[in-house]
Amino acid sequence: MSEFAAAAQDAWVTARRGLLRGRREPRLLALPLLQPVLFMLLFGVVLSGVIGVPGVASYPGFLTPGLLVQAVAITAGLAAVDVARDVHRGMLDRFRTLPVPPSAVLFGRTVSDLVRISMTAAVAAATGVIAGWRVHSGPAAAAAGFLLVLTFGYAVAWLSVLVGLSLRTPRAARTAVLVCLVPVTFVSNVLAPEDTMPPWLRPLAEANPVSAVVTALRLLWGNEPATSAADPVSAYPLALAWVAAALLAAIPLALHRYRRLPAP
Amino acid sequence: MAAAIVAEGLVKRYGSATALAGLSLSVPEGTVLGLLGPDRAGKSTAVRIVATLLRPDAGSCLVNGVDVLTHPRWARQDIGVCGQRPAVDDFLTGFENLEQLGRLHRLGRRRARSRAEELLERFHLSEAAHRPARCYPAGMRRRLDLAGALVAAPAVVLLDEPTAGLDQRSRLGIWDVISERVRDGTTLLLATRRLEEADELADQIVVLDRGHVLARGTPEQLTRQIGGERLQVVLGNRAETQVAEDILNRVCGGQAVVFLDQHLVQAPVVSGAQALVELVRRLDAAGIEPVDIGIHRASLDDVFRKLTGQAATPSLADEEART
Repeated sequence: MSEFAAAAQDAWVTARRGLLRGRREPRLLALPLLQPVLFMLLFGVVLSGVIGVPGVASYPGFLTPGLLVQAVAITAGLAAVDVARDVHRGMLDRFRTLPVPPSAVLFGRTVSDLVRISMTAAVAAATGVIAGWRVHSGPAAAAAGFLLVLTFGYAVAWLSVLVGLSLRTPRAARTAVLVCLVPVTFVSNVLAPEDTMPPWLRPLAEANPVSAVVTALRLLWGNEPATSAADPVSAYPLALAWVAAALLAAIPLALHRYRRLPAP
Repeated sequence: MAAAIVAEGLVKRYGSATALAGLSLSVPEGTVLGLLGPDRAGKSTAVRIVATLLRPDAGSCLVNGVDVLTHPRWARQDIGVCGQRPAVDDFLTGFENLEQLGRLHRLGRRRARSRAEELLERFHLSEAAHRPARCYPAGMRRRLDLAGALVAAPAVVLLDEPTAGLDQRSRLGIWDVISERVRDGTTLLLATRRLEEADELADQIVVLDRGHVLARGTPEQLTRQIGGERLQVVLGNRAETQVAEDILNRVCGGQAVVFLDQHLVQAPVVSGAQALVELVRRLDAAGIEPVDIGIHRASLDDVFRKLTGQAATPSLADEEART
């Protein structure tokens, strides 16, 4: 067996570990799967009457791409807590004493995260459809949108692995995820377009990578407000650039951190 | 006998603190080297360096001739490691835990499964094999952890306080398993604060404190280093201690020490049995009837206490605090 094939098999064994964990401890899936449903109920149904977005006929239609990105980010963020728990309990030390390349352990880990992220995305999309969201573009654009969401979630998962490896206790990782993800996902165009925000907040929301991905999704799925000035020529590369930058930064840093983990 | 582990001049610093100050050790194949010391002695640091988990600031380390610093992945093929905490996946069953490790050792699916079953049987875990590990009590978790370190039948096993937090029965069970592995030819590096553990398992002991080697040798050599035998007598009252001290000085050639609170007088002695007879005779002649009299042989506990200034065996409160 070639070294690459052996490493791929190692990655599969660690991915299977993550998947089995999800199956054995369903409570771990509760938050990721319930969150988009609850947010859609709250913002898309209960508050939809008071939230007016200029140029938007159906608020759930506008909201769903944003909630999808938010739900995926939160699900991916939970990887930090899992990884920190593994560090804290010495599991990663055990893996590090095995003749397994570090990349296999971490790629396997993030593959299981990707499966969870896909499940969350499916629940969020189904919730959106029930609330009235529709894709107004062709199947290729629809598929490209979902691919973008999953790639974004995968990048956040790698960032979360880096956070988990750096903080090393589940409590610290949970706090860090909360402190990072709440402002990043709310100070964005997830719930409302940037131009409806106060002038001091608008630059932050516009510079937010979450906004870039949500804008690209709305353009791909035809959910952008009629009054929007977003341009696909700049929006798609910007979203892809954010995702690529996150992956290019997080993967080597996480691998470096894994190789030099201090004692739990 | 060839050395399975050879470390030379290992140094590790964390900021201004020195965890290891030039540790050198050699562990012949099929033997047990005990690293004995109190907290922050540097034991775990040494184990982590040999286990390829930590790079030293200076020094070298070979496992079965492979340099762990330049070729860690090769070295890992010969190493099994048990850390201070059982590294067990709670949500996996005992069988799945071991099978997973076998797969990661690239044993192949069928071999990994048969090896998992074999180890579960050997570690008396077969009945609980298909229960999630979170349901296992501490002793079973530790046995599963140890079984995990042995999945690939490594030539060298590194154990960092393998019985910390376990009750006496579980501890004895772990010791049995370790002794069995050593009889099978496995080389063991054992870091422990438990003196009786080192005494029971180790062929050679290195006493560490604050990164420095204080002493090394077999348990017998170490006890001899601090003076072998002492003659001691416990008296019924304080007034008799002065007379007893004079007698002991004459019998043992000086160096008698008096512990007034305990009405105890003791002195180092070379020929214990002969001196004891002489002491009894002289005390009798002086009209002193001792409460207790005898030869005290130095234990490893005395060695440890003398070298580190601390009691060797951690108290129950210490153990609970650590776990």
